[in-house]
Amino acid sequence: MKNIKISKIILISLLSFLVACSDFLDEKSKSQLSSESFFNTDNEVTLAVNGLYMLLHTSSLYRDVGLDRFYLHGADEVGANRAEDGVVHNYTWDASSGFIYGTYRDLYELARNSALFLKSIEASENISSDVRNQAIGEVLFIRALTYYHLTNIWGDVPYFRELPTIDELANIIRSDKNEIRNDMKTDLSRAFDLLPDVYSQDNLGRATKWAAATLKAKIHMMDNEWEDMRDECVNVINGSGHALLDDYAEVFNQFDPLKQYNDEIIFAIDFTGVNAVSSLFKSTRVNHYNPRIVKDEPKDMTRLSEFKSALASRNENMRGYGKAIPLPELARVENWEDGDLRYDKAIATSYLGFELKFPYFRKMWNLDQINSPRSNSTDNYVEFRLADVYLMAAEAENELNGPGNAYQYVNEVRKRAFDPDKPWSGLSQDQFRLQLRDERKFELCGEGDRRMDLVRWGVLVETVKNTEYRSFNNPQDNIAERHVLYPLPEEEILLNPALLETDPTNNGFR
Amino acid sequence: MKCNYTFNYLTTRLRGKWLFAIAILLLTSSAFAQSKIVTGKVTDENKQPLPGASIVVKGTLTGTQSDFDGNFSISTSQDKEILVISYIGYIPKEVSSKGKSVINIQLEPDAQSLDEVVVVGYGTTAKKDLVSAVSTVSNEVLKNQPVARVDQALQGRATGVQVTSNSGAPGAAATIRVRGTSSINGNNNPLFVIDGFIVGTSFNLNNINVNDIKSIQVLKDATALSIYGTRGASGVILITTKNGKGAQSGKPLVSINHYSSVQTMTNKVNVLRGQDYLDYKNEESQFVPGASGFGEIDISLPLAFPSGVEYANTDWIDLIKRTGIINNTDLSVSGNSEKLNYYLSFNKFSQEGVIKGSGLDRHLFRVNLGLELSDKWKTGVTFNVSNNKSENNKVNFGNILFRNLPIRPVYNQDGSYNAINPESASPERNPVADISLRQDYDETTNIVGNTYIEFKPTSSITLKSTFGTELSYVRRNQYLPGALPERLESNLGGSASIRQNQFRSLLNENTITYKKSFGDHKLTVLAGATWQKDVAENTSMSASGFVNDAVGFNNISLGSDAATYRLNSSYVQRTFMSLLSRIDYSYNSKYSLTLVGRRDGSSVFEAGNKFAFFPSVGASWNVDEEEFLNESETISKLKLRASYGIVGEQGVRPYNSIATFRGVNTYFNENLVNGVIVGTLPSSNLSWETTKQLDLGFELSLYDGRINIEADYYNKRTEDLLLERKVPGTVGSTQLQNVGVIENKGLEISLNTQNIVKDNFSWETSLSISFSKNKVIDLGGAKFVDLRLPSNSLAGTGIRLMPNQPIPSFVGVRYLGTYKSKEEIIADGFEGKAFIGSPRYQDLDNNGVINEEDKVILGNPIPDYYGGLRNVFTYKRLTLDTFFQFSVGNDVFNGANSTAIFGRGDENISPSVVNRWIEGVNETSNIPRAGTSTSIFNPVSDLWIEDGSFLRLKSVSLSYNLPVEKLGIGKIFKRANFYVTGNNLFLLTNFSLGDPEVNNYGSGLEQGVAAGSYPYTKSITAGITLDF
Repeated sequence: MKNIKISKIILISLLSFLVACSDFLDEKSKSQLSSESFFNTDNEVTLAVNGLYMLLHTSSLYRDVGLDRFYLHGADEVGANRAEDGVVHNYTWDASSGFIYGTYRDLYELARNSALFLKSIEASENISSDVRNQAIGEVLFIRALTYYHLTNIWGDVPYFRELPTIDELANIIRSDKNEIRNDMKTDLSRAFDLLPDVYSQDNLGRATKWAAATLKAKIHMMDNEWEDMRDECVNVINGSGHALLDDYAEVFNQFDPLKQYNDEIIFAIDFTGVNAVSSLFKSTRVNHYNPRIVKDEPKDMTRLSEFKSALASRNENMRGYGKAIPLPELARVENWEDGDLRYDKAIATSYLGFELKFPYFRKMWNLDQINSPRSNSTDNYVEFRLADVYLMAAEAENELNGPGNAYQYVNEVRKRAFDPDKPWSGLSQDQFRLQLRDERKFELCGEGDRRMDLVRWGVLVETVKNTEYRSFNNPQDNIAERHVLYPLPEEEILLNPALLETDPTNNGFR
Repeated sequence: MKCNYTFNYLTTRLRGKWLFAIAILLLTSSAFAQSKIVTGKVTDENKQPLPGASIVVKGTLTGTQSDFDGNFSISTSQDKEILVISYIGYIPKEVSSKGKSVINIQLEPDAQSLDEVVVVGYGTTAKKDLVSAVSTVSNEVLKNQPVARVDQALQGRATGVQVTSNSGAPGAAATIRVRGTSSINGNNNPLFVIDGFIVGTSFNLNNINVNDIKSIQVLKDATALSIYGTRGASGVILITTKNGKGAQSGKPLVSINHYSSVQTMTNKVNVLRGQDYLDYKNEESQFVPGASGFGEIDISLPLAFPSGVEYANTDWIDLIKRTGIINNTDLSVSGNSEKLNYYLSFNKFSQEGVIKGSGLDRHLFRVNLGLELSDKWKTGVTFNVSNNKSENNKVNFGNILFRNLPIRPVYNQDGSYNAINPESASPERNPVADISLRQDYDETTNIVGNTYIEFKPTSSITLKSTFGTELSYVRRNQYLPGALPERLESNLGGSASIRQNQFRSLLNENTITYKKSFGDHKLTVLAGATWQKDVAENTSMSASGFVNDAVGFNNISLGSDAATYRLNSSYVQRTFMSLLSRIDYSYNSKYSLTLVGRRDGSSVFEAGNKFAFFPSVGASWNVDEEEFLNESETISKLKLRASYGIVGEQGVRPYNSIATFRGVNTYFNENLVNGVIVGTLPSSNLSWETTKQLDLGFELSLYDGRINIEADYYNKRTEDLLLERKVPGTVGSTQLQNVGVIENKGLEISLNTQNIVKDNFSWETSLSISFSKNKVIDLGGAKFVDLRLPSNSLAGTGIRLMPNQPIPSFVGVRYLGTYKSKEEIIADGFEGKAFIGSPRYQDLDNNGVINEEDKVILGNPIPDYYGGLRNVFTYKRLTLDTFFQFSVGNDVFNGANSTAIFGRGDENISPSVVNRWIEGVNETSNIPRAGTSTSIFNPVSDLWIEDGSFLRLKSVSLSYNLPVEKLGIGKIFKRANFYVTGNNLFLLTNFSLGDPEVNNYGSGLEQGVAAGSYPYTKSITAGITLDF
């Protein structure tokens, strides 16, 4: 009998344990941060902003030829040295092309994070005003940069200022690009007021107010808003403290990882190369500009080992892909203005006395094997530099008032390009306009400005049709008017048919 | 030399054990010194020996057990003792020893308990009353197999259980699928339960000794599985270890088993040799599109590898392989007395893998005790401690097969290791240096302990509480010395990393069982409550820039490059809480009915969604008990079974419903800073995957058990599949959702026949064969879901899930050979992209582009049928045991073909390029000409898919049981058995890359991918088993 009692006691105590432990199944994540308990301190706010900069480093954006596929390729300056990346170079891409989806997805990750962070930072009460102001300015800048790319590439796109619910996001429709850009311009004005002028050495790479002003000028440029464009540019030229370097080649000198920010650079995405904790911060973009030794170079293969030793003695090598090299037209010295010093600094057809089989962008390559070995490059992605702003100021002023006041800006850029100097004068507005287009082409060659220029000038299709490409590429046979914009990714439309509501043709691709 | 050494080693080891054995013998035999010896033989109704029968002197503790041949020898203290001879399933017999020294006993089967006892979840049942489909593998088929892991021994043995080796590496896991793949994002591995303790689905089977296992039961149908609720849908494997019950009383049984194996590589893969490679590359370097645009050779172009230079011709495989050696020793002591039964064992297993530098060392200890405290109280413990040290493979075998160039030398002229790919000039690992310099090992300590207390207040009620724990500690140490040539080349210094994983699981289960017979009615009711808590804590650290290789991971703080410091830790917890019940009812041993239900709760689901109920019902009818079959000469047993029920699968990682931030980094002007971003999308309203399963089966015995057939048909439908589903890019990338339906159908047949049963000779055959078909019914509306990419991502996805197709399907475009003429290129619209002699693919939509739209289904890795065939021949004391394993109709995705014939980049090429298209020489070849590889997108194609069917002589074992009595050593040994076993001696297959039984992606959904994993082996083993 006693035993039965014991068993009853055991049984009852077990059952009561079951009932008592109703929170036994509750989940609390101990090793992960939850968004509910964040944004209470200055440091937490800074962490969030840093996270946004990290998102700029993905392969589909700045680390590799992500954004380059929309900005650098497909114009009249860059091609591969062989039949590679044909989908991009031949204009055979369509809504199902993977690179379009990748960039779209990564830009929306930025859009979602910025929307959530902005609201949380604005709502947080415990943060010092300096930190808050800078943080809001940086988030506004990064969000505007995100929508700048989105509207450049796709035109009308899904748009939100506060993070919608998952369901709302999954059924979102496209918004008018003008509405989006107007908001961004307003945001950038606000960012300009909130952001600092300069940063300490440790913070180079963060957006300054001048980065915000330049981005705003760029958005005005895409909208042909000449007056605002000029005003922003002049403001940057006069107020930013940025200056043109004396030597064109020095602008692109990335060899010393700690001296990658020069006076001319207004905004760059920072890459760290071999020392980086994650491959995300090791740029692979330079692989595309760098030559392939053995496979392609040097032209005289009997001198291969000689060439190798010559490179090795400089701690250099050519271990790139050769997939982003100048098109023949751009590479021919006779197509450049006589005496243009930039040619030799921008283009390489021989190196160390060895003739090369293909031309390369000397300004964009990096042969250094210490800081920029293959797929481990520390080269920053220079997004905005002052020479571009000068040329933008010249263009906007010419469009507004004719060449009179525009010469000063373009001649500032030409001053270092020619010795003796060859300043412009006595041009008609139209002559100025056309010559400036070439000036931009040569000054900014290989940097990824050309294609959007051709788009906004309305001459992309005719330019491509009239350019000489390498024999394995035939974009001239494929390009059509619809190619000024990209289609929204096919997968995206399958998952959210509401994206067709405003434009059933998907930018002419359906 | 190696073999000699091994033999010496073996004998010296044995000498040690001899002494030990003799010591035990002296101790035990002295107690029974002055006595009369009675010997005899125990046989069954067919005059077959009954090994393991118990012989006890009535009223004493003196007892023994019959040996392998049914022989026994027992000491009695007086002349007229009564011997009690008993064996499970037979009617015990009492025989007086008066005046006899030899007693032969034939036992008659006990009609009431003829059937073996089957272990099921939370109890046991007589096979006769079992309504479920359960495959049983006894220790008898596991013996003489030189395998470290029980999964390796299960291959082909049980119907409905597909076991595929993932690699040939020492201690490598196999993938087990019970009745197919039934989950996409969830778990497909069966749940392992060892002696009642749930060790989960990812238990490292290296931690259990095959020789400690008494039996393995694989639960397959809903009635058997639903008692495991949300964790049963992928099958449950119950492992029961040996105990001292049924062992002889009083005197302990000491058993020693030792074997040594030699292993050699079986993957006979040819690689392209030096001169052939040079010829190809030189031809490639002179290829140009030419003026015609259709491809020409321009002999004015310089050769990539001009003559006059000496190039190496390295055989990398030969440099890294060796003869593998396995040494295994088991020692066990078991026995029982009136109140206590015990089984103690020790195992040492050591293996040197067939790739230099790889291996496994294991020590294992087990204690199983059962103790009767009183008539009503019982307690017991099972306790297993293991320590594994595995030397991880230092080389990348896939690279050796497909990447490392034959023209690359091992050493530079100055004697240092070569680190440079001669084609691309990139630094590359050197396999020979890897083996001598890399340090990489795992050390695992694992403890599984389970105690119980049982109380029987009345004869019909049993209360039982068990408390169990698994504690596991894994540490992986890796050091890449700065002296490694590819690191020297870049002046990187050494790099160390340490990863530690600590796991603990606590389980408490409480059951009450009511068992009673009322006339012809038999009723068993089980009810129970359980809870379990699993916690995994991981930490890892790494650092680089060691300027000196002396300390490595043993002093990681010497890593001098702060930018490389990496620290991580995580904490993951899962809890379970469940109520369970089973009711078994049988009437007159004819009709049985089982009802099962488990109400399962798990922490991984969000609040309000944590509990689910899993019911099932099963019934069986023993037709042979009916009068119309009672007198049948032919049919000795016929049973029909049917069951239906619901089982679950949780398939969810913990914390998936909580929105979290993810810690990240970024840089400003080379300064590392921390950051956060929003983590993966939280899921919402997730619930269990539910699998509804119907099972129909029969068991038939003919001619007094000479022919036995068991067959089962099943139909499993898994709904609410958890799918990491693609969401719009505006939302994120994927979100875990309950969508989709999968179906698995199959037929399993096992056949056992006693072909010849003679006094001196017998022949027994067992065949197990499983037919299975699975397919995706629905993917929540998606047309397909892409799975992992094959090794070369440039080629696009080749493995996906698609409605109405098996899980998974191989997809790709059709390879049409090479272009033979301009006209073909023009007709296809590939001018400028393709050349004469370049690859040609089928452009299904004729749009001049080879892309996703041109992909078709090319195959799947699911066999039409698979199984094993065992034949056992016994002649007197000699036993020959052969086992064939087969799989028919499965395809293999040969990842090696990704670049093999296209000559891409700086990797080695397939040897088949020797027969490539060459202008004016071999213009009918369908292997592309050199130099055309980069001109066109070379996608996954049918070139990659091969038939993976095979027939393998998995093992053949010859054993000889020494006549210990005749040899006069019967006083020392109860049994002495020698055996020789060959594994994988014979393989029949058309697969081009050696062994088709591949699974490079481990236990994921992407089955059947070959990409050069650690090679498989064949082995010869010699072993000895001694019982004292």
